[in-house]
Amino acid sequence: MIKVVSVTKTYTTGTDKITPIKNFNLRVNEGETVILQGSSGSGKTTLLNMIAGLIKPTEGSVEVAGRNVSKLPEHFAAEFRRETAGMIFQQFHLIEELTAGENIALPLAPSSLSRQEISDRVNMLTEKLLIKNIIDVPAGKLSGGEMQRTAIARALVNSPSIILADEPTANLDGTLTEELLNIFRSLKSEGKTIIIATHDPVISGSDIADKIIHLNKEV
Amino acid sequence: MNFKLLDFALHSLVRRKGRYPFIYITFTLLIAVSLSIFTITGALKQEAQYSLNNLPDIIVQKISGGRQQYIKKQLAEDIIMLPGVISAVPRIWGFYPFEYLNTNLTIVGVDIYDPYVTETLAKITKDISPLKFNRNIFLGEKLHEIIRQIYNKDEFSFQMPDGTYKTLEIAGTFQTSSQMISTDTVITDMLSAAEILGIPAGFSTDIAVNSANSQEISTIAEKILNISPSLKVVTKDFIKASYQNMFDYKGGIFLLFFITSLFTFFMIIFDRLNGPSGGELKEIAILKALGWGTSDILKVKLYEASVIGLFSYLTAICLSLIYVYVLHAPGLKDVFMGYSYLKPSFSLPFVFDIRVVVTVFLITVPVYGSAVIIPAWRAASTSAEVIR
Ligand SMILES: Nc1ncnc2c1ncn2[C@@H]1O[C@H](COP(=O)(O)OP(=O)(O)OP(=O)(O)O)[C@@H](O)[C@H]1O
Ligand SMILES: [Mg+2]
Repeated sequence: MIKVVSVTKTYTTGTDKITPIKNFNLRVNEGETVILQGSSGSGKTTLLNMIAGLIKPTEGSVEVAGRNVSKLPEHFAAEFRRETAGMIFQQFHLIEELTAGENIALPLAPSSLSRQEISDRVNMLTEKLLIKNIIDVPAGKLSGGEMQRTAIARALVNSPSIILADEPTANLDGTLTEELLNIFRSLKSEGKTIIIATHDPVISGSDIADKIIHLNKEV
Repeated sequence: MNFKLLDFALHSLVRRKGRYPFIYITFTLLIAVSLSIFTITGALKQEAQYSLNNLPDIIVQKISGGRQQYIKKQLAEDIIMLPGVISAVPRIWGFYPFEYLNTNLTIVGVDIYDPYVTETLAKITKDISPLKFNRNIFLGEKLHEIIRQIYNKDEFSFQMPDGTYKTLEIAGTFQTSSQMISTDTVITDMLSAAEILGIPAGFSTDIAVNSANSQEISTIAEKILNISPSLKVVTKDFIKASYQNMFDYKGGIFLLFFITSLFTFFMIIFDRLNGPSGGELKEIAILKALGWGTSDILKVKLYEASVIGLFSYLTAICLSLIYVYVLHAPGLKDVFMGYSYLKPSFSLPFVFDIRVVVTVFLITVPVYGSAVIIPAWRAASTSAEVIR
């Protein structure tokens, strides 16, 4: 379960202060799929990053699976991400010179898993996502759809219970968006908790959303 | 040790090929220079020590008008009578300008009838034919070669102070690697040397005094000074101290130079790594989002730095070995010795000193390591916002 309680986030750059999230509350139950909507600059990415423990709220608390991630020291926040969260980014953010397989394995490098165990997981995921054939192709040479699947495989390689996706369809055409929806559906059926930030109506209008949250741009 | 992270680090080195050669080359050169300097100063100190050990305990000179004058040989007989003195020998030596090489030859007159001298000469000379009175010289191999090239014969004509020439045959050469006599030395009998140098009969350049007991040196020195107010004594300890000063002085300049370049080098490194490139920052941010901790990222950076450091270090050791042992440290040796034209061919007994190697390692590699780690740490602990 994810509990966001009275969270405010203020960014300070020089003398400028921006507060995209103000006194915000959210509750996501296990296995739920939540869509975050809102115009650009409304704080969707900010919220996802706080749930992932990447940034800390200025006020309030974020609790994920019983852990107060807003208070976790850096080392434990990283461990939490490694064990619990899988992130999918808008730009995929693959490391271009590494192969698809190496990219997928990245989250497990700091773990204590053996190479064999890691490669088993990578094989299983690439098989499931139908990208086994590109495992040795440098990520920079992949097509958009392949990149996206690679990014998804990477987010899933640590068997996370929570998946955080930031505008996952922004760079995809209609067919690929449909495919992505199918992948989310199957993840949902596996009982994963999913939070998707998007302004793509295809996603927000689909059947996968249990809840749709609107973030308003503060002025 | 996490081998998966090490893997990643090695991979990164290969991926960012363009970034590292500069650091690698500068770092290698820096270490090579430090290693060479330390090795050479070490060798020179040893060499100096060796010559110092062969010095007489006291050298007696005559000074008048603030300048050194020739000293009466007879004075040696007075000195030997002093208690504690075991030998007092008048020495004939001096410099002879050899314009062709723009250098001074050191002319040394030896007592050819002294069996000890004959024995010593036999030890250091190559083609032994005894030094014949008023006929022969011994000189260094290199000097011999040069003279042969210029005059095309095995003899040398010295111009004496009265303008006439004295021609002496080369009776033998001594190895330039001999530690006892340096390469610009010419050995001949006492009379020939005195003639070439213009030392009047009955006089010598100075008197070498040895004592039975090193504790008595200062007492003996005082007594010698009491013989005549125009005498000056130079003790072995005094020479040792001034040698030490010279090395410390030159060594100090080099240390300063060395520290400066070290500093500059690390400034450059800091500059380059302070703002890791945009791509690298982004990569750090991605890795953090994927669950890498700051410590994991730092480990990778540390592995990268260690690999570069180690490779640089090994290359540098090879380079400095070649520079010092194969090429005989051209350039650097002259700075330390103030050598004349002839001397660079003189080979120093360079010793491979593991302490030097370790010291240089401890000075350079950790500093380089922190120059890499600190900026990376800064980037890793503040990069969360990079991914939007
Ligand atoms: N690290 C930061 N420092 C300063 N301001 C920031 C930082 N990150 C985000 N902001 C600002 O906070 C606001 C919200 O940003 P955020 O990225 O969360 O919005 P978003 O809803 O994800 O927008 P988009 O739809 O464009 O991705 C924006 O005005 C942004 O400029
Ligand atoms: Mg965003």
